[in-house]
Amino acid sequence: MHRRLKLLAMILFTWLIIILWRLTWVQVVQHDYYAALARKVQVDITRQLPVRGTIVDRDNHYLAYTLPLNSVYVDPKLFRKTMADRLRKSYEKLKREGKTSQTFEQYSEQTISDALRELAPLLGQSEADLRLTLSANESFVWLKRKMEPDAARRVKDVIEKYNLHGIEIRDEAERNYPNQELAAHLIGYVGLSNKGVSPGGLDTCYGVAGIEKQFDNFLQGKPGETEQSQDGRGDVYERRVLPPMDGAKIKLTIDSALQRKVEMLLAQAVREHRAKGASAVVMDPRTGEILAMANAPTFDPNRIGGDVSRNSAYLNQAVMLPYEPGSIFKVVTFAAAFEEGLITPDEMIDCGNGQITVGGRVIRDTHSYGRLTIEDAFAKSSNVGAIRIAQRLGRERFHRYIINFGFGAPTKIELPGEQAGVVHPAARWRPDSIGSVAIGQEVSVTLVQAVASIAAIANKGVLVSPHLVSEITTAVKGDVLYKPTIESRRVVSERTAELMTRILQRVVTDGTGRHAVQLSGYTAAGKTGTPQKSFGSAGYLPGRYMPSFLGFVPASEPRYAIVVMVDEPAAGSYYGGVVAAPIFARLAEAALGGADIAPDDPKYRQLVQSLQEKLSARPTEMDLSDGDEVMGGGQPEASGAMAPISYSLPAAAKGGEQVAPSVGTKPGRVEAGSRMPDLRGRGMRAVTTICSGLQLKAKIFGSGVAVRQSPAAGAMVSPGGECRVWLEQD
Amino acid sequence: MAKSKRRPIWQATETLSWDLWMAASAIGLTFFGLVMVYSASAAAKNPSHHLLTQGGAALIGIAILATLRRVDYHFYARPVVVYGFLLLCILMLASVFLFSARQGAHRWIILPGFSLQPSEPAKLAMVIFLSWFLALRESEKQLEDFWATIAPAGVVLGILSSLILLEPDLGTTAMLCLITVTMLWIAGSPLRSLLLAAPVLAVGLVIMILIKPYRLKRIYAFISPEMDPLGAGYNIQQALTAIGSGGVNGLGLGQSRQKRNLLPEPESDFIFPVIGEELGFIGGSCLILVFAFFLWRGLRTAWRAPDTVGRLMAVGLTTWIGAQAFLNLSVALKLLPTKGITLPFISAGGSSLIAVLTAVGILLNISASGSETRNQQAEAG
Repeated sequence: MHRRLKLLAMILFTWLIIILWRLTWVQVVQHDYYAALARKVQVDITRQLPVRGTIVDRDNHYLAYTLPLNSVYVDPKLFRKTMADRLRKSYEKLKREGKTSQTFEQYSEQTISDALRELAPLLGQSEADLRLTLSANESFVWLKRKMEPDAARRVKDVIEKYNLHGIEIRDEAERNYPNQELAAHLIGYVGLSNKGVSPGGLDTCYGVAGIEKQFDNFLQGKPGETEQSQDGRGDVYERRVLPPMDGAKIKLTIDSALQRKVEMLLAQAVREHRAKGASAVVMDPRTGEILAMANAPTFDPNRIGGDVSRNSAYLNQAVMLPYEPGSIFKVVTFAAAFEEGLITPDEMIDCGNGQITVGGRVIRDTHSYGRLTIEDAFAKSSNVGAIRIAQRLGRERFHRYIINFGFGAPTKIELPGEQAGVVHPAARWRPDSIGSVAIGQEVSVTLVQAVASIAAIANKGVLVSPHLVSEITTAVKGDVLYKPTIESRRVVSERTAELMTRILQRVVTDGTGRHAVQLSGYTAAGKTGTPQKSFGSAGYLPGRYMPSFLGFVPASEPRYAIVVMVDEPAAGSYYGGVVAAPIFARLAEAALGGADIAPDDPKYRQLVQSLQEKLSARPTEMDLSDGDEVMGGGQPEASGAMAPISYSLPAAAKGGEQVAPSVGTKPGRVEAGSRMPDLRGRGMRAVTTICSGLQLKAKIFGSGVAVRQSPAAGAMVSPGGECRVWLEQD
Repeated sequence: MAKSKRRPIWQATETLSWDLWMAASAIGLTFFGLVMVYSASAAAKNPSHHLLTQGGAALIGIAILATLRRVDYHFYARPVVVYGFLLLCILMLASVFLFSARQGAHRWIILPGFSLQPSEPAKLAMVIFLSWFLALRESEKQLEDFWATIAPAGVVLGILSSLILLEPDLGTTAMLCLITVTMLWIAGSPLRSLLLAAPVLAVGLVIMILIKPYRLKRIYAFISPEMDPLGAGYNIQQALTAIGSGGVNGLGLGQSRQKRNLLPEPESDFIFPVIGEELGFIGGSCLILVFAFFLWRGLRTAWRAPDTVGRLMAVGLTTWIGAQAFLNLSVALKLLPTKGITLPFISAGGSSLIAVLTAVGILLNISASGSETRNQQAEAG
């Protein structure tokens, strides 16, 4: 008996061990699985879409915003299945109460047709179409997408009135770029996350390029969540509501007016020179703020289509495509030599009659020179001179300055896909490399790097890291979430910066840029470049150039550092001084005029003075009420009278094959650049948002949805204009 | 060997040492059960209903326990008591069919103010009958005789279990069979005689399944509850979800979410999932270990019992409580198919609690007698 008792004890003990093992397995090992399962059974979660953050320019004009809209969809299978039950129940109730004499078929047919009759106009469909959709053998069909929240609310009312099931409304936002192409490469664009396809999910936009991508997590916001704990009967015993947190507002350093001007000029240049493309960057050398950055061709972020990855229009070439900069790189060569005390501006240098042999390779100048001052060697862009100077520096020292000017490393501008460019380490330079690098070959740079380097000269030798974002703030309270960390470091001494400014000015007054860069009233400093396009191992192909101009204005107190590059002009001229410099000049004038900066050119001041004297002598001839118009480029007689100084004469007047386009635009007045969108069907809130995005004053008549507008859709509108919209109840 | 040791029914002397540990674990489990029953029924319409009836039953049960621990267990081992008790139970089991069914089952004698579940005392009656009967057969050296021992035991079991099966209550029937087989085996019946009874049970089971096809469904549900979480496998799936989501530390006392109409009968058959969810692995495993401890004290009592009646009675009562607890846990943890078996001491149910505490009272007396025997032996030695 005791033996069997022992056996019983052992059996029970084994059982105990099995139970404990099983408990450990379920409760400890599989806890996560069951916790998730429990949540699924106990908690019903619905999510609300946050409104994606807006992107604004430096003056708080909208560049990108999101309109919260609603979409309506139906699950036809579910609709038919549940409606049969529901109708049956309500019919039986009516029958019991003796309130109907219809048969069930009559009753359900009447109810459904009543509901569809009310629903169809709200969804913009005919009753028959709607009926067809509801009988489809599908589980998900859109009934109407992106409708105004007001209209969606009316749909909801109908759904509730007839106790319909299977027709659902969900948030669906629409991202708008009111200025179409404006700053498209900077803003980027959004794609629709495929997570949103399931009926319960949310359509979330995510940034694909530009700022939209770079700061996607700031822009996204957090979806709101309503968590309802339900018991087994479906009764709610606990509710937790977390409202959605709208995305942050990103303020760019971009000046929309200037940006628009840059884009116009680039598009014009591409047309005129039959170029493959063109890019330009404008930066404030004092702060590192990017005021404008543009590439042609460009795109409209509202209409993304085709194979985005193969279309170069979608690339922000200014940061993504490094190129061999050519002569503009001589800025670094000369600055390094000045800083090291190896040259002075007035020192004579032997330019070897336009030919030099470096490491066995012969390098020639376009024009051959004998002995030139350092200043002239720079202004005339002598390759031999630059190479001689680089040889004095030696590869180690030269390399150090190149790196110090920010080349070979990304500038960390807030844009995705920025390239570092290529600067080979000094140890790997071939014997002839010093000759190549001195004149901007064997290195590649992005335009942002280039503009930052010239800005360092403009900013008295201190390089400020370029940045595009001024601040990121929360949507509602405006709490600052992000401020760029602006790094600045001294690259060359103030003295060197002064010397460089002097020789850069010389380029414009007497050198390669003299024909094109003649600003009305302002001094300028800059350097031309006419690099041949490098095709990697294929080398340089004949006739493929990337004329560039790198400089700043005004020379005396620099406010704008500007770089312009035209990719493969095919209409004849290809020199930097001919193709790129005029764009620089017009850009500079637009920027200076727009900012209302006092002219600094001493010759201009003399001119004004003498003009005033003459006018006081003969006060009847001219109306001086608008002095700036007199000085403007569009008044050749006025400036012609002031010979020999000819500020505003087109460069063509000075002969040569360089036909620079006439500077016809009045400085500071920026052309309008946005097309009016179609507002029809939009609600009051959307209309006001869109108009303020376009910087238009909205005048709204009536209420409901827009039926008529002025200006018409597609018309060009300028900021500050007026927009009239008539609304009607539908 | 035991018959010569008959003593007065009422043991007045306090000198005997009794198993304080067993009493403590039983009463501790009872009070813990009160707390959990209250927590589990918190989401019900009348949250304190179960607490009040269970509390009343606990008081009565503990009073009975305190009384019976002083009643010499040999008192039960006489024909008058055995047959009287059996007869009473059979009558009560028969009378349940006079009362209206609850949840489709005739399990209760419903009286004004309270109701009684006769299948609970029936288990006690079966244990008492078997310990008396088997001890008698052992003294007659007829234990190995199928017709003299196993057949009569089978008849009594058959009467009781068929009545319970008709209620229907498969769980209690299974418990009754388990107790009987264990006691026969411990008493010394040859295994092959017991195996003869197995085909009879198997045939009975098949008939039961044929009568009520939902039982087959329960077995399918056991095999794969995930296949149809809202159908037959729903209960066990909810139980596992409750236990699993409790994790190591649990959600905290009173915080169970599954008890809100997701678990069926959270205060009764599925109270362990609520405990697992609220008190986690720590609480759940501690509870299981306390049951194991109680089981050990019970088997120890059997080991030390002074005579065959006491030993068989201790084995029967311990097996009943221990096996029922393990069966309940095994069902909740999906080790066995779902059937309605309560967790002794813990689950809401007055009849069950009183019956179990009565059993503990008897066990305590046996344990004290065992100590006495040892003392006497020590003195003699």
